[in-house]
Amino acid sequence: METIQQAWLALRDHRLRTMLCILGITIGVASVMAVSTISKGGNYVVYSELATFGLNSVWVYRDFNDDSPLRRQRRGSGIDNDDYQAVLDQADELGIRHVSPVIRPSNWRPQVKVGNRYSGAAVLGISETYPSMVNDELEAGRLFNSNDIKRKQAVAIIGPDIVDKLYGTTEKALGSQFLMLGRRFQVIGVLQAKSRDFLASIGSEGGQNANDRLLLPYTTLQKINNNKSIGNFQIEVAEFDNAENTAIAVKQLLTQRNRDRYAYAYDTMAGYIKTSDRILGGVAIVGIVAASISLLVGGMGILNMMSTSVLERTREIGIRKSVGASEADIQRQFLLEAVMISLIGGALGLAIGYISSVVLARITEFPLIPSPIALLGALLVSIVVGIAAGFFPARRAAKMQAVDALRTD
Amino acid sequence: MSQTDSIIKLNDVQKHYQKGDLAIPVLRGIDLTIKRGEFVAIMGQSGSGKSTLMNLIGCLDTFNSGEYVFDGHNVTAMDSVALAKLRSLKIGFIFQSFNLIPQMTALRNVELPMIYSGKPRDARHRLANAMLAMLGLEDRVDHLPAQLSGGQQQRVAIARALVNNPSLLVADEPTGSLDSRTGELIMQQLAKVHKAGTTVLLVTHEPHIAQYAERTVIISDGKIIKGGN
Repeated sequence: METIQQAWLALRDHRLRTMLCILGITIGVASVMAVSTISKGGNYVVYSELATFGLNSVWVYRDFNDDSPLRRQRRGSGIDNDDYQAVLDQADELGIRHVSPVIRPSNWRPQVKVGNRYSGAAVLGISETYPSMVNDELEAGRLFNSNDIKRKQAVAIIGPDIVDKLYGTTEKALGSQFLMLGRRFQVIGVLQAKSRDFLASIGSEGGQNANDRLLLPYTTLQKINNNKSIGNFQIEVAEFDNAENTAIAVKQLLTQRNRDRYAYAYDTMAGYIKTSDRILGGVAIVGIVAASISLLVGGMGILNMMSTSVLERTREIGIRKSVGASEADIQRQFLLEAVMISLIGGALGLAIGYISSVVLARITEFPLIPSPIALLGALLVSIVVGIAAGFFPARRAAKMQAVDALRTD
Repeated sequence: MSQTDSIIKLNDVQKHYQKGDLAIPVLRGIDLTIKRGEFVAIMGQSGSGKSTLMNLIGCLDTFNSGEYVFDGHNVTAMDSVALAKLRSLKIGFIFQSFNLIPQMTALRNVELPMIYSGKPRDARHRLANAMLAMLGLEDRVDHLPAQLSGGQQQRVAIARALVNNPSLLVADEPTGSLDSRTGELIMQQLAKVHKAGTTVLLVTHEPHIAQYAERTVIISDGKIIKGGN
């Protein structure tokens, strides 16, 4: 306690110098914190938008870019209900937790009509397992059940954009009917809004609107399409790390079942995530390295100040020793001064880092993700910087011979 | 008040400074015994080794050979931690240039030795105030050294030197920076300290200052030439 007061007095004595040193650490810690917060926010945005496709997702579909001219001229999607059943039967062996057929109408964006209002919609035929796989949540109503699928019911779950265009409110939409593809459907559920704005803003293919989807039981859409074709499988793998293996196994199963008459391809979310991790991680590392350099420079500032301080206060060190201070006392005092500078700098840095994170989050529209670990880390790092920068000057001060120290003027 | 037992016993103590390969002798075999409660002056020309001897006796400096026993402790074998403790509890210093810490008030300067000897805050405060009052500085406790006269500064230094109730007070040219009248006052103060039972070791080159002591030891060229035993 006494040592803290002594250190504080010594620091107060050289106010300007102390403040400049504190500023060095403040800038360092603030920039490390701002960079890490903002990259965390960015990560969160990307992840949450990727999650709108299901983080454990695998897609298997017919490869229309096949090189073989023979296969290429064949018509059809190359997948049908029998294939679906085969995949379902072997789900466990294939490492599949859920699988759903995904079917589109031959007219990709058919018109939906309510009274004299019209809207286009991204129509998808799916099974009852699909919504949970892609993290679809209901705003109101219910999801499909096995009865809807089995009986090819004319029921639909619609996205919020369609609600806006045709009904105005969810309450009006729910239970009401619309016309599409020459048939009448009933709205049984309304989806919550999902954002893919960031992916859209970077021009990613994943930036397609998730809010004008119109989901139908796949069996209903097959009836309309008048075939048993399936566009692609949406698969949720049991283990994220096995996504690729599962995709390959499903592809092989389909190739085998169709006796190599079609070629198949697949995508995995794991692959996309790996790519985006590489990019985001790279950006974050560059930012944190740059910010850490300023922290290092701040540490150098302390080292410089403490070295000067030890030289200037040689006589004081001698006096303290002559009245009974031990080497440990002197070392502790100088070390404490350095740590106090870095701690105050660190705390101020956290405050300023937080403020600049808030500002940056506003500008980038990333969410602000406060991390207690980053907070603790920043404080820890500043203490370490203080100890590292203060250690050698403090040691030199402690090792001074009292009599030599007293001799200087 | 002097007792018969010795507080300081130096036996053939030698010290040299190393300059490159060259060893420059400063003390060439010092034998000196100082009794408890004695007031001894060490005199000598500058360069005679008197300051080195004083630092050595005050446990501020080390020596190369010989033996030194202080107040029953064999200093020869002590490490820096033990020496610091000895200085803290048993030895008080006053210097020619006062050596107060400029950014600390008189009170805090006097409290400093008690911080290192581990006295609790309240006791520190009380003792430092009492000591300053005893030296007539009760209305100067919150002044910085720069706001005090030379004589006042030296009195603060005396207060600081005595506050841990040391067995030995070492005074290195205590009047060297003061006018003669103030110097006399300071010496009277030291005489009082001696009277109260503290052993006082005075280093000076002024004969009239040395007169305050009971015994004068004269050192020349690293050897005691008069007043040793």
